Amino acid sequence: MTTGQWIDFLMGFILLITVVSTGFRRLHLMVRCLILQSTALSLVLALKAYAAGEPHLLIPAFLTFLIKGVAIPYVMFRVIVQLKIKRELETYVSVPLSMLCGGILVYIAFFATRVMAGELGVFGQHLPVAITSILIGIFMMVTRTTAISQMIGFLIIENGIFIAEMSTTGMDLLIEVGILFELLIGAIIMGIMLFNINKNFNTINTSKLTTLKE
Amino acid sequence: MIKYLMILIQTALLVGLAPLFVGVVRKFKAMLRGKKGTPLLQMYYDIWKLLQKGRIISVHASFITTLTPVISLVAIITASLFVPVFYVSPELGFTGDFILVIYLIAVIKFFNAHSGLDASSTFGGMGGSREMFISMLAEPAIFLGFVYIFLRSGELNLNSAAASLNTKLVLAPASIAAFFAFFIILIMENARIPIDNPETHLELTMVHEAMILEYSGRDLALIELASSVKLLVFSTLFVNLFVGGGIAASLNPGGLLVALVVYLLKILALAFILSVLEVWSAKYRVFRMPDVGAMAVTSMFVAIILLLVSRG
Repeated sequence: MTTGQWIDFLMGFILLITVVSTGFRRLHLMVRCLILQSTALSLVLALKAYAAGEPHLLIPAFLTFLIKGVAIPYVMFRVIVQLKIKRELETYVSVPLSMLCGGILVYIAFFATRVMAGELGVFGQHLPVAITSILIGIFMMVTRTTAISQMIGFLIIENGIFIAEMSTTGMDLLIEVGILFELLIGAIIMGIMLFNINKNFNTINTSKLTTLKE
Repeated sequence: MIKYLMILIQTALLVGLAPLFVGVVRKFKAMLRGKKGTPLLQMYYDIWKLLQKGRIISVHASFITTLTPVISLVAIITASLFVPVFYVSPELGFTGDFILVIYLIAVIKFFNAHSGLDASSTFGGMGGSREMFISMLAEPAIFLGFVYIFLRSGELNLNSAAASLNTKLVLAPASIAAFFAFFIILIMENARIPIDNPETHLELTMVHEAMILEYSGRDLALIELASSVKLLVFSTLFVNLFVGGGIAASLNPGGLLVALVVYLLKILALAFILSVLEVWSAKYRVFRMPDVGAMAVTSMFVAIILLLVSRG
């Protein structure tokens, strides 16, 4: 199997994981989906670096794996253990319906990029996967009530932007490093805020945070 | 002429190997749990023992109770005539025989569910309604799987599809999603963990076993054989259509032998994966089944979209 085929295989795997993770309700399962997605992404970037003969792309690949695959999930696991929550109790959309919506979002993404199929570069066919990730991340942020799942949705959006950047333009090391460290600090800040919210309101269900008084 | 003989040989192989397949799955499970387990041929001994025992039929039962075991076995043997095992020839089968296979399996489900209701016991009704619920969730995924097979191989005939998928790359992105989806369908249709526990003795956790709770003797032997052949038919469809490769298309004996060995190895790997899954997970609650069904439908849908895009 050539490198191009391995990259296509990993992209299909990323798409499958993203779509299926719309249906998961247990929090560590969703964090594990995030780990799988980020690891597969960093592998794709590493393979691209190998195929295009640009060894400097290995640095963003390794950093992506380190931060999005190891550090941020570690922060999230610690938050989950500290808050003693295991699963998301209420969501606005049921599991089968949200998976179906994930499928429809895949269709929308592929349909919308159909018209530009001829103008993209070699890896331009991965642009629909990027748009799918962004749309599914937005969907997760909107339909979940636990703040942690909303953060995971945000990270999925960031992964989608990363794929879009990888598939269309060249990668700028400075921008990549900046974005990754910003995400890491964001995750740590989210962990601290969730801990405080839980201490004050005894719940991290964001639908209950809209009342002004108890 | 000799091609029709090959069909008979393949069907006999499927029907004959089915209890051995179930035995292998049980043996792997026992090994994973650190036990010695029942002998590999145990299911053959069970069927032989049951064939010699008498039947007890409830006074409230109608003709459906005696008709169901026969219909189950006959339907699944008819379905296995169309399934490519280790030899394919495009002349065998006909256009759309996948739909016939699915409908024959649906006939089995229909009669099993009715026979569960027939003996007027509450467990039969509960098992029948759960079985219908679960298969209703898996049906759209199966038909989407048929669409996927057609799009991937360009053929509507099971034999030609297997022949054409023999040479296509199995690690293409669309086939991951379809592999995952059909694996879920295999578990849902054949009452394995995590959908249904085939070894439970607690009636409230049974689905398939509850429907056949009232059977004894010869009827039970036929139904057990039909269930195991159904599992092997689904497994064969899985390894030949969704993980292609290794099927012989010509009649030379060396090629046929290699194809047979490759098929047996693939089935063995699938038995191992099934047993690992059975040891690892517990049975899901019934109200989580729609989630599993939705996962199968969505994955198959994603596979079809990926295929349509890569074809242009």
